[in-house]
Amino acid sequence: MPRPLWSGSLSFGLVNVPVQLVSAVRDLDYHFRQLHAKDKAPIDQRRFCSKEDREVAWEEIAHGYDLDGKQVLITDEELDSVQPRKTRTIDVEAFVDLHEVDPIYFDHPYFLVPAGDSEGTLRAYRLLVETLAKEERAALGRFVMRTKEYLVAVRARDDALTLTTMLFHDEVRPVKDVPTGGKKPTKKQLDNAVSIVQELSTEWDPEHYQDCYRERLKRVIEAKRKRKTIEVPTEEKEPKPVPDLMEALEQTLERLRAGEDPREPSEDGDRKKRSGNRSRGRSGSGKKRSKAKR
Amino acid sequence: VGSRDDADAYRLLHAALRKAERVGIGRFSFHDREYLVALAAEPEILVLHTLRFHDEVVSGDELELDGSGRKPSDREVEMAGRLVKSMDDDFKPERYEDTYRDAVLDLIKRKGKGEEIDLVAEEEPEHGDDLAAALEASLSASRS
Repeated sequence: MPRPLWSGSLSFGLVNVPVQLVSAVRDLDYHFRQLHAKDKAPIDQRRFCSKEDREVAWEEIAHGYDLDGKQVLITDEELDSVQPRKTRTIDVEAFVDLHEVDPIYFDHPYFLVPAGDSEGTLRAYRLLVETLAKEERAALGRFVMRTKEYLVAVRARDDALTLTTMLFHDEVRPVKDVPTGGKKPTKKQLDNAVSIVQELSTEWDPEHYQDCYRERLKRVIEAKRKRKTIEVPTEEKEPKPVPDLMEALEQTLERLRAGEDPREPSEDGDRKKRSGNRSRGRSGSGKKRSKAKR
Repeated sequence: VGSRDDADAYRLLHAALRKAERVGIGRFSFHDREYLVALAAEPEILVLHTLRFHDEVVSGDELELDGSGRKPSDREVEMAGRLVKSMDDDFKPERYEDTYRDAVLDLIKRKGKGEEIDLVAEEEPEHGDDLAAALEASLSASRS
């Protein structure tokens, strides 16, 4: 099981369930170490005191906050004492229908697992899973993890409790601060665009989408290990803005109806042939495969 | 957010997604990695949600939860259901404020003035094994 990131209890009414928080996402990215290019020795990071110009051990490092030019030192114990209950307890404040929550508020998904294996804990945990599933509700609560308070939604999934951290309303930028514009589309344009959306509509199946970048990176690393030289591809052309929206829409529709990929350039028949067996960066495989499956 | 030349196309895509009641699924590269994304038309704007690839999500089976032990009784399930209903509410994001942020700033200010900070002893919540009694007490508390 993944390493717990927080432990405490989930509390609703007078029922307390001891729980641990584990991430519901695993990191599959390739990570690179910093090396000295000349001799491949790992680069070391050291912390130096800017005044004494000597290396400082972790134990000697404190948190400082700049309060109008004055540095205030704060210890972990003092931070824990700010709102002690919140650092140990997720207090459920309400139950809501998750469909009502705008997904823009969702931040990071976790699982909540029972802490310990006492009979009472496991039963209370099971009770909450069953109740949330049956009532089709999510529990809204808050807690503090690593010096930050989170609003969270707890729901039942796969016979377990998941917890999603959420943004507070004032952390979401208001739409009025973002400029949008453009002319209102004509009816014909809109009809065509809607037809394209409908042509491309498919059932959502997450397994149809693979991380192609990760796959390509894996191939590059493998090839490098075998001491092959890597061909650096030429820059792909940026897509140009369409001079005639209507024409672009009609061409796209035509090609979709003929069963072609509308993303391939039309005037260059030679290029089209080549890209068939060479995976280009932009052509994701997901949509095409899901269409074929239907 | 589109540049001026693309503004008409932006507006068209927005209108089409709203009318068709669909989100667009696509991918793009950003900061040296590829993202699977959902493009949703909100009332006045296109919102891009980054998604996780399916193999990045841990499945519930991997948690190896202990399914043994006594199942909650019908009475406990019924009482818990009533408790959930009694706390049922609409989601109003404005109702939830980050009070911790302000509390930390207050702590810093007090410390800055040289005040001594009281370190509160941690209170451990009780984990009573009598689930039914805790549910009963919660229900009568929520009624009053």
